[in-house]
Amino acid sequence: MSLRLYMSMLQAELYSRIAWYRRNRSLLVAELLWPYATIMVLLGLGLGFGDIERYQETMGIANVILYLLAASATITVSLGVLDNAASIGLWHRWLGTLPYIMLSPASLVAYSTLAGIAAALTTTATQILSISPVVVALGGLQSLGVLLVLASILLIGMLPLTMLGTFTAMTALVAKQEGNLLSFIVPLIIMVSGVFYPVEILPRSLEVLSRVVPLTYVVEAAKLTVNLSSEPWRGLIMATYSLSAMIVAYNLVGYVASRLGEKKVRERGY
Amino acid sequence: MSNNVVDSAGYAIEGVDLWKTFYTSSGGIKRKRIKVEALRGLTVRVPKGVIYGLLGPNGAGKTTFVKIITTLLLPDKGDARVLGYNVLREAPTVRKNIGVMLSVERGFFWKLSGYENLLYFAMIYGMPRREAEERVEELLKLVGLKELGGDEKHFEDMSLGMRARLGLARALLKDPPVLILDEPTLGLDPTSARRLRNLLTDLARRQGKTILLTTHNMYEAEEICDTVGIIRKGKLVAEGSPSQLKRMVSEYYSVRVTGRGTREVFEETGRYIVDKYSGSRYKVVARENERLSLIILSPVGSEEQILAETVQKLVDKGARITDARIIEPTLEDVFIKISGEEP
Ligand SMILES: Nc1ncnc2c1ncn2[C@@H]1O[C@H](COP(=O)(O)OP(=O)(O)OP(=O)(O)O)[C@@H](O)[C@H]1O
Ligand SMILES: [Mg+2]
Repeated sequence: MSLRLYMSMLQAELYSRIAWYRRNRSLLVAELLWPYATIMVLLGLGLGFGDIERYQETMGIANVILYLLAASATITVSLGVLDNAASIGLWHRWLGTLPYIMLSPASLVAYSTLAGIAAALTTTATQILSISPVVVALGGLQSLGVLLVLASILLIGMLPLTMLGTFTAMTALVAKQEGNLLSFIVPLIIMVSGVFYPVEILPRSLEVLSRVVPLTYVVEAAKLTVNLSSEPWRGLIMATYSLSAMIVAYNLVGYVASRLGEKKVRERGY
Repeated sequence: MSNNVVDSAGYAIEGVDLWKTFYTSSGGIKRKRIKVEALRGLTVRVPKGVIYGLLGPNGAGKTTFVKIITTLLLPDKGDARVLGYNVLREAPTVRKNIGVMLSVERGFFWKLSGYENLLYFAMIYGMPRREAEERVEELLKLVGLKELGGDEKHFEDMSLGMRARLGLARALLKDPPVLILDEPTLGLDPTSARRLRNLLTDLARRQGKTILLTTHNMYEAEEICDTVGIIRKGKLVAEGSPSQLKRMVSEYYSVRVTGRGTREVFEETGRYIVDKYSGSRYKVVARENERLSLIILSPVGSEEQILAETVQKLVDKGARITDARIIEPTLEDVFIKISGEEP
């Protein structure tokens, strides 16, 4: 039964990622410090050039620190997922593990997707873990609920990115280049998602683009969640709808393209 | 599905009329497209339970063939099956039935231990965690990694011999009936290579596994392979048991008898033998320590008789024999002769 196979593969990926964290402790520490590093740079720059109230007002947020922490966590997770997806094929090719992955009864596309989900799960876990002490300190125990909602939004938000990532992984393998051809996508996505500044200040064309980037909705949802505003649900539901639509659309397109890519990989040699 | 299993009953691996061309490019600014015909109508059939050795010069297409029958590469043309399952249409089933080892020194996560690496791949192949843990323990013992501490050592710290064992253990994870190994003993020291070969013969003889391996080691092919196929420029050019192949390239075996005595005695004996066995030739050569060797080129089939008679004659004439032997061509002679010929 292939569902069992997929679950087992997901377990394998989680297992190897956790082992990887254990063997690369400094990288784990860096990942945990990331949101704080971001916040320090932003606040440093921000306080030098403007005042916090103004920023708070423009972004429509209640607590700058809370928001920036959540935003950096969001960015780190999406970076982690996209980066993982884009490099996983190349990484396995360098290691020489690619053929042994291809020897699984599952397709390479299924593998990359599952690896993407595993990456989303582990990076979400590290980021939530990282920001939770400060979030709880600032918002009290009830903010644990906020963290939970944030974690779910992050995971849902990563699903459309996963297939995009799988597609990227396939392109990298098909092109037989020693780097990721679609790496420009990452900064682009972050630029238009409105993480650190409102989408509305972007030029019209980029604003349109930002509407089809899943991260935009994740950021919006994150904003609503950490604001602890009285009426977050309407917004959250809207964001979830948009994300679901994207999951379907992105995954369909990504799946077809990736299958073609996989065939090419098997034709040309990996 | 069952009808295509029937027609290939008896063969574990079957590649029929396989063609594969690669296109690559070279050069920087002015790119040149290069066409490489890796396989040109290769047909290889491996019966069940056999150890089959695939030999051939560098670039002959051995690895390309291995990749096709392991579903990793699609052929341009031709048909390939493993246990009757088509590698194109029934790839997942094929993959469940094969264990593969492609390169000794790579193919694992560098910072994970032998145990962790194997557990990872077991789960990638769909084995439930519990079962995987047991199987991995069992295999680490079987390939002798446990006693070397290879279960805990990181892959990056392992010697080539340990890596080869780990690679074999991975190939055996699903306990597959068919093993496909690309140069499994490449770079191993004689002891490690022998251990690996012993493991392979055990797997074939005791558990009835079919093993296809490629190698550049003629001694290895001769020692463990039931059948050897030589491929050259993407085609099979010779096939048979090592002894059949040796007989194929040479109509003569040489008989060499060494000892002390006068040159006269050796010459006389040589003339006697040549007179008696038509088609044979002889030569006497001086050796160190004032010994002489009588070398007789014997037509295949008469070598044993000639040896006995030569020794007898020399002893009768008062020579003291120190060594007597039949020198067969080696598989290396076969290989060099066949792969050097124009097709
Ligand atoms: N993915 C690929 N792209 C382009 N050319 C390739 C590819 N794989 C193999 N070739 C070419 O195909 C030919 C056959 O290669 P193959 O690796 O099958 O040879 P081999 O018999 O395994 O050689 P060796 O004994 O050196 O391992 C070679 O000329 C090789 O350069
Ligand atoms: Mg090869």
